[in-house]
Amino acid sequence: MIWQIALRNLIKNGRRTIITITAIGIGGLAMMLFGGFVTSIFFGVQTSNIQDQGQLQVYKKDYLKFGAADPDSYTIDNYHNAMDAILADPELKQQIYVITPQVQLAGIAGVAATDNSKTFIGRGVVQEDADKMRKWDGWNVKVETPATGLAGSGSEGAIVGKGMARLLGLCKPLNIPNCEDPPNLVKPLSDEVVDFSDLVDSDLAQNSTEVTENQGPQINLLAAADGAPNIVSVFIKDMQSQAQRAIDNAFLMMHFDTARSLLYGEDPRATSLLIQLNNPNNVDQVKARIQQIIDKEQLNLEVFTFSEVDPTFNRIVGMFSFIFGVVSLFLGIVIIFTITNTINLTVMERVNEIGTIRALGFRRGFVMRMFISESALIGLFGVIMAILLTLVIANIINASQISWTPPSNATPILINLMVLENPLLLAGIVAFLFSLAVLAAIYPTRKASRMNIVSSLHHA
Amino acid sequence: MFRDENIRDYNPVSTSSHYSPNQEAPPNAESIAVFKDVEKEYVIDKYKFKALKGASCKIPKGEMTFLFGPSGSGKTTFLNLLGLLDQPTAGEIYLMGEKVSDFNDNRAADFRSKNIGFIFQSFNLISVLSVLENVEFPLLHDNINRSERRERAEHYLEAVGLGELINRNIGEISGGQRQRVAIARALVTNPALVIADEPTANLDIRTSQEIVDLMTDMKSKFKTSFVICTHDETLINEGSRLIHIVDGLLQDTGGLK
Repeated sequence: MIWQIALRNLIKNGRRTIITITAIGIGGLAMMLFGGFVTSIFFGVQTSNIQDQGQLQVYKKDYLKFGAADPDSYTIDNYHNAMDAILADPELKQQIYVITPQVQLAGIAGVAATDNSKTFIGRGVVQEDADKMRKWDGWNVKVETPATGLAGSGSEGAIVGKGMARLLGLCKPLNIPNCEDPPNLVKPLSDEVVDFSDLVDSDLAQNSTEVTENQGPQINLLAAADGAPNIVSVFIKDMQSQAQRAIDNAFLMMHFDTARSLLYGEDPRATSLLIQLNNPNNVDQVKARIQQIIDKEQLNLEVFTFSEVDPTFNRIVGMFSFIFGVVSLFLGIVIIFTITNTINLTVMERVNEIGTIRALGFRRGFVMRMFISESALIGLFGVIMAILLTLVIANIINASQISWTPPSNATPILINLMVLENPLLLAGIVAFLFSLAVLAAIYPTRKASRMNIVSSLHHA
Repeated sequence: MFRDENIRDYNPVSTSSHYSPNQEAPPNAESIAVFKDVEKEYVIDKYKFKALKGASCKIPKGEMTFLFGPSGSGKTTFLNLLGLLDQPTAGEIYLMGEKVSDFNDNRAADFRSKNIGFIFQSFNLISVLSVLENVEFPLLHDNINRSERRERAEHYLEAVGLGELINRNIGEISGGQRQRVAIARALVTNPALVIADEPTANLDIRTSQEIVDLMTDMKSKFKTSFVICTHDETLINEGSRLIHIVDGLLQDTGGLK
């Protein structure tokens, strides 16, 4: 009967009830939509990272500590052995979608004809593997990362960042929209410009910025693993914008074998192994198993998750979690005040009823239960309203094809509010709202239950 | 514990000028309530005000007792103390042989729920409940299932003549009918004592008399003690016990009317 009384009182004070339920509904809607947005960021950014770097990366021991200063000493020698050892495990073989070597390198890129050169930061990837990785979508978030663009380019094909293309004067040769070549592109050699074109095969150097059929403009790369530098020429197939300007201005991606031979000649060495798993929720288990095999084979390697290698993802999660927490806190305060105010008004209107109920022999706890039941019902209806509104509005937003560019992306992605895809968050918000509704009623109901019975009975 | 037999023998020794109505009770009558030198003082804006000034009396069991007096005489204070809605500043109160004047809040609530029914001047029914549900309401104390609650509530509504109106909303019935609902609600827990504070003040003369007659019937039918507070002497039935209260003091009225 307590619930009947609560429900009927809510209906009796219909307008006030609707306003309170709407406050919870709108607050819940804001939390759920923002939660869905944050979820889509978490999964989207993770998917982008996994498409590019896999869930796990294997490095020579201590590479992350000291490898940047001395990369030659921290390469994986005979990387095939490590790959074979990992894939020899039947359980891992089933879990692994792609395992591929990668070379990371830095050096100088030069265009002979324009005397233009600049430093580059490059990656050498196995094109087939890298393109396969970019199709991974383990959470079905529909993040579409473009293919490497290296397909069909032979071993001399390469891709540069948009900034890199601009700085090397490749905007026109590559027909890049909204890209302007430097005004002082053709200039006499000076001390500042590194000219190593004469080190390259003269036939290749001649063609420099000319766009050869199906190959693109040619640039020369100089890099050293240890000791004397090596040089190779590559043809720039296309450009791909990178998320950060500093990286975009220096980015270069090429075939694994070309990068490897530039640094190590014929030695089968790689900077790292990238591992992409079929099941995105099984990473820790696989990581432990791989480390076990590595240790058993005494390969002197270490395995990391992508977020251990690059903490950007964790920072993004931390930032959005903090914002979500702050937004939820403020919404929660507004909801608490609204409900407290509603229950206070209800208590004030029903002082005489409280006195009567107490006179009939009901304890204080019963009076509290009566009003908390009302508040709980308000919370319940508010939560239902929030869920229904969220489902409708989330579907409208998702269907309207609005795009945005996440912090770690270079290209915009469609907004896909993942509300139902994160049931834990949804349940958390529902529990949070419901708890707020109940908690907000405690103070006014406690006050009500402690009213003097005689005074209450004489309250008009 | 101070049991009923002791109460029956209790004869207040008081030098105060007030009258003790127990002297007029039949010699073999048991008391439902005993007041012993009860005082009640209120503090309003730092000023102390004594509403009851050493009240001693016995209220006989199974009878209808009228508490009569002008406004502000202390009638309601007396009833509040009798109904365990308030605590005395001094003195002792015994109900059904149990000393109740020092009960804590929960114990007083439990005692009220089992032993005392209330009828209020403004009916004090729960507006969102139907006639039947209002009468059922006090039975929520005990773990009585819904069908039994309904059965008992219907029984008492039949007894007060509202058997046809059980599904009506409170707003759909007259003042007299509302007071009948309140009487049924007061009786539904089968209490030993029913306290009625000016139960006819909001009713016309004819309805008022009907309500008093109804309570007299109910007293006989359910063997319940009634203490009715009123300032309207015309309502006091023949043969009823009478306690006259003036300025916080109980006065001699000769006991039976």
